[in-house]
Parts: sequence; C-alpha cells; structure tokens
Amino acid sequence: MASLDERMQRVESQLDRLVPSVQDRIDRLEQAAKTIQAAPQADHRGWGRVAQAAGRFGGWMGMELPKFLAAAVLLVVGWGIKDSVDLSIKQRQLDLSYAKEMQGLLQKMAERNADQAQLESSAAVLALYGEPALPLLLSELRYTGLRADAAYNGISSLALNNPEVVCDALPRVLSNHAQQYDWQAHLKIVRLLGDYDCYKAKESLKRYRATVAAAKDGRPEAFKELVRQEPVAPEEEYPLLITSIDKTLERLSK
Amino acid sequence: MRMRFSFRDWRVAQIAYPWLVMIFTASAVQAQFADCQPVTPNFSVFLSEPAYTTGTFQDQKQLQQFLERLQFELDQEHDARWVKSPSTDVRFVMCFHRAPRLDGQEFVPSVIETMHTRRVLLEIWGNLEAEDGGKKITARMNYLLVPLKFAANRNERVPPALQRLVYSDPGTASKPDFVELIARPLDIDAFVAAAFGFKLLRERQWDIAHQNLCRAATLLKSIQERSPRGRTGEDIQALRTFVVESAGLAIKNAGVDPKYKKPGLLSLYKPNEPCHGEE
Repeated sequence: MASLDERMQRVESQLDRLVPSVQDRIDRLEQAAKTIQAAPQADHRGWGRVAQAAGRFGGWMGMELPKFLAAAVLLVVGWGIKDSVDLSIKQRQLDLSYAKEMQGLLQKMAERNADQAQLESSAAVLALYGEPALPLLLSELRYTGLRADAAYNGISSLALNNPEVVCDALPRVLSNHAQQYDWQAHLKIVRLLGDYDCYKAKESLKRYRATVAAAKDGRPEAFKELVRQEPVAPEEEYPLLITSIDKTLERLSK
Repeated sequence: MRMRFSFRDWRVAQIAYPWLVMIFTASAVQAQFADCQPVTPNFSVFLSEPAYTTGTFQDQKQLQQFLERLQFELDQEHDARWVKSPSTDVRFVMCFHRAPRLDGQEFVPSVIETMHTRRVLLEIWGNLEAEDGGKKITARMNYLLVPLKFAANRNERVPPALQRLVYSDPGTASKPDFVELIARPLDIDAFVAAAFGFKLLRERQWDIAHQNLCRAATLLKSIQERSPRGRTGEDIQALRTFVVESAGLAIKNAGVDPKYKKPGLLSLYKPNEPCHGEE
C-alpha cells in the first residue's frame, strides 16, 4: 500500500494534467457567480419563471386544468356582463329620471299665461341637462313669442358647454323638410350658428341662403318646403333673413 | 364610467337647485309678463294689464272686465282713423296676465323683434288711479310703437318709440269711466296710424304707408293742440316730424321701385311736401 505522500503526489499530478486547469475552472465559476449576482431580479421576475410556475401548476392540476380554466373564463365574462348590465340599468334609470324632470320643466313652459321669468328659468334649467335637452329646446323653438325666445336662450346656454352638439344639430333644422318651424325660428338658428362659431355649418348656410334668395326673387317653392308658414311680409322679411345669414357667414369666414 | 354618471347627476342637481329656487321666488315677486297671441296675418295692437292703485278695481275680475270693455270698444272701429290695408286689418288684442313695468324694461330687443315679425304695431299699458271714492280718475298711458322700437334697436334714426300721455277726469262726469277716458280720444288712432304707416313703409307698401303716415301727422297735431307739457310734448313733436319725413320717403322710394305701378297715386305728391292737402 502506497504511502500518503505518494497518493497526494499522484492526485496532484492528475490535477495538473486537467485541461482546462483547475484554476481556470475556478475562475469561470467565480465569473458565472458574479453574473448571476448582478442580475438576480430579472431572472426571478421573468417570463421564464412564470412559465416555469405555470408548468408546475399545470403538472399539479393534471386533467383538472381545462375545467379550472373554463370556470375562470366564465367568472371573468360574468363579471364583465354584470358590470355592463349594471351600467346600462343605471343609464336607463338616469334617462328616465332626466325625462321626468325635463317633462316637468316642459309643462312649466307650456303653461297658459306662463310669464317671461318662468319661461326663461325653465329653459335655463332644461339646458343644464346637456345633450338630452337639445331636442326639447329645439322643439320649443317651434312656438313663437316669449316661449321661443326662452328656448333660444336655453340653446345658447347649452351651446356654451356643448358647442359641438349644438353646431351639429342646428343646420339640420334649416334643411329639414318636415315644415315644423317658422322662418322666425330659422332666423334664430342662423344667429346661433354665428354666435357659437359653427364653422362646419358654412356649406349648409350657403345652400340655405340660396333658397331664401330664390324666394326673395319670386321663386319661393323650395323655401315653402322648409317652413311651416312663409313670411307674410316678404318684402321686409326675406331681406331681414338674408342680412342675418350674411352676417353669420361673414363671421364664420374670419 | 359609473362614477362619471353619478358625478354628472350630482352636478345637475347641484346647479339646478338654485335655479328652481329662483323660479319660484322670481314668480312671487315680479309683475307678470306673459305672452300674448297676435291675430296673424292681421296687424295687432296689444292691450296689456295696467298697474292700478287700491280702490281702482276691487279684484282681478274687475280688471279683466275693464280690459274686455276696452278691447271691445276699440275693436269695433266705429271711428278708427287710420287707413286700412286692403289685404289686412288692425285688431285689438286683450293681453291678460301681461303687465309690463311702467318703464317698459321687459321690451328687450329679442321681445321687440318677435313682436315686430308677428306684425304687432303697438302695445298699450299704463297706470290707473282712482281718488275720492272713484270720482276723480287719472290714467297715465304708455304707447310702445313696436316698428319704431325695432328700427331703434337696429341703430336707425327714429324718435322715441315709447310715448306717454296722461288723461284725467277731474270729477265733472257723474260716473267717470276709465274706458271712456282712454278710448274716446283719437290718440290711440294717431299712434296706430304712425306705427302702421312705418311698418308698411318697411314692407314696401308705399301707397298705404304714405296715407297712414300723413293721417298720423294730422292726428298727432290734434294731440299737440292740447299742449302736452314737458317731455311728452317734445316726443310727440319728434314723432310728428318723423312721420312726415317717412311719408316723403314713401314717395321717393315708390319712384325708384320697379315693382311700383306707374303712374301710381304717389306721383301726385312731392317728397318735400309729402302730406300737402292732407294735414
């Protein structure tokens, strides 16, 4: 049996013959350890780790995994549907409560002998409801007198907060063939378009001007289709309307 | 999303509440100024509720009866002095629940434009006072000539559109009556003719505009003969000068209007003496 020294020398000689050398191997290990130390977080949070965990979870779930996934999807979809239904119901409730409140205000405006202050206040409060109130205020414009004046002021208030909504709706009144409005209502609408810088309405206004100008020149057929009742004093009223349209067009061209 | 709606709802309520409070308080403290329906396509004169002192009318019903009688008396046109339009008529409309302030604050440009485009010529209201148990009565009447106010709002040069006259019965009549006090004089006819003539001038109906403007000049002269004092006298004079000028304008405009039939009646008049032979 060889002595301890001999065995040590044999081991050392074997180590010396190793390629790469022991020293090289230790250096590489140290280098690798430093790299791992430098970026430990990235590895921990990386997708690889997630995938690893998912894989382990999948393995653990085995055949139950599809059932579990189906239940999870159902839960998410159910939650989503419940939320949108909830939202829709709330929206309906809100619409209903708006409609009821607005109906009260409309009734105030329609009251026989309603005075100027009452009409103005009702229209102003109506305007606070925003976009849903616009059709109602436009409908009030169909009436002449103080009621239409109040509706005009209401639409003006509404346009301060929602100019796009108002600017989008008003030109349609000028081209509407339902004959719901008088020329006096058209006059108000033309002014509103100018007052609230409804630039997109320029083309509609130009077409409307051509129709009014034709009526002034003795060809009122097209204009008659747009209004409930044509002007009773055409020599005064057509020029009045044309002057207002021109003022608005001039304003919109600046 | 849910938060957005609830916030909006809250905001609407927050803003609406003071307005609603205002509606009720405003209607409680202000005089009523309700709408009045003209008789289109005819020309209309609004007879609005006057203010009155205690003892003038016992209740609202008596006030309504007064307005009804006044409207009936005037609408009968027994002695209407304005020149009627061949196609349309002037009608008096009773406007109950419409009580303008004495200074006419309610007549903002939008209200005037609406009245003008509905062919309202004149609005009459005022203040009625009864003293000494109704034996002595006084009426301070306001006459708003709507076409003139409309022109003034468009920066045209016109005389004061709100004319004021005072009538009083010193207690000589056995039973003084406000309707007789207000309706009997031809003052209403003078203002109707002036407003009617000016409105027809704007409507380019030259002949009848001219006739009414000249008729107004004559009737206004009779008011001047009663020597109204102070501002009333000046305003009547300014209106009279204006109606004569407007009659001249009717002659001039008819001369250059290709639609006016030639030779029309107006070719008999000179623009610088538009009412010659009619005053």
